[in-house]
Amino acid sequence: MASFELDTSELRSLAADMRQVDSRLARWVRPVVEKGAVNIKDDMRRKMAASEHFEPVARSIGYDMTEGGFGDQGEYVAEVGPSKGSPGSLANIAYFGGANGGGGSVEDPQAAADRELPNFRNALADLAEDLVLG
Amino acid sequence: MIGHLEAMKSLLEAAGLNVYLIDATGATKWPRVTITPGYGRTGVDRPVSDDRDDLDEDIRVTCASLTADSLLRVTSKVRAVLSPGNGVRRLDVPGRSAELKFLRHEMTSVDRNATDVATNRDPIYTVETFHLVSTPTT
Repeated sequence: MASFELDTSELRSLAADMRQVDSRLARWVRPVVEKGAVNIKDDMRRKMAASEHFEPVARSIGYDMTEGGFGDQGEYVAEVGPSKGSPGSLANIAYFGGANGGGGSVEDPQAAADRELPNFRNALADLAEDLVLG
Repeated sequence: MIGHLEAMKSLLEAAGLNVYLIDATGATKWPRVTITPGYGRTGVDRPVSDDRDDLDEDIRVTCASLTADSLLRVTSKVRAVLSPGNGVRRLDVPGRSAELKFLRHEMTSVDRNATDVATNRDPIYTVETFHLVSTPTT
């Protein structure tokens, strides 16, 4: 998968906090995290597809879900980005340019993560409310 | 924006580095540093000049060299100059209060499309992002 990670520090903090919550809530968190990953992936694909030079890289953008934490439970991580190999390896140039600068013509993937963050927060808040209030 | 990039260039050149703005294609000296405005932050319009009231931008700094040792030294030096201790560096830009701070390391890779003609070696490069915040002083 991708050589760079899109989690913001706030997202990571939220993921870490999930280890502390009731197991009732934790098992419903994974779909929320995965939905966020899908939204970020789609956003990044749209931005890459809009590039005249790097459009083929769009289809290499995907996501991986992993579970961690104590006993491999309670921490859900989504890693979103281009896969290595053709055409995904061109993503580095698209995002960050080459040895001589240049490139960098496609929006920084961090922006897609930043845009999704409010939705992710709201989805977690809604989930918590549903579980507490029934 | 250009005034800020030139202020960064001056700081790095004073530290003995070869520095270019935006594009170093055709340069022959190694190692070298290229300063490029980032793509822009979500919800923040791209500035078209330094006349704009506030700047809140990411600046990309690419360090390139033909050996790993050299690259690591240059990358470390750039960070020490532009964000000492990963803290804030004030930039000397007339009419502005400008601060720069290391944000994150983006990538390290080999560029196989920028082979050095003299040595036939492919350069290794790092890209690091610095966060620029600047406001007018008047």
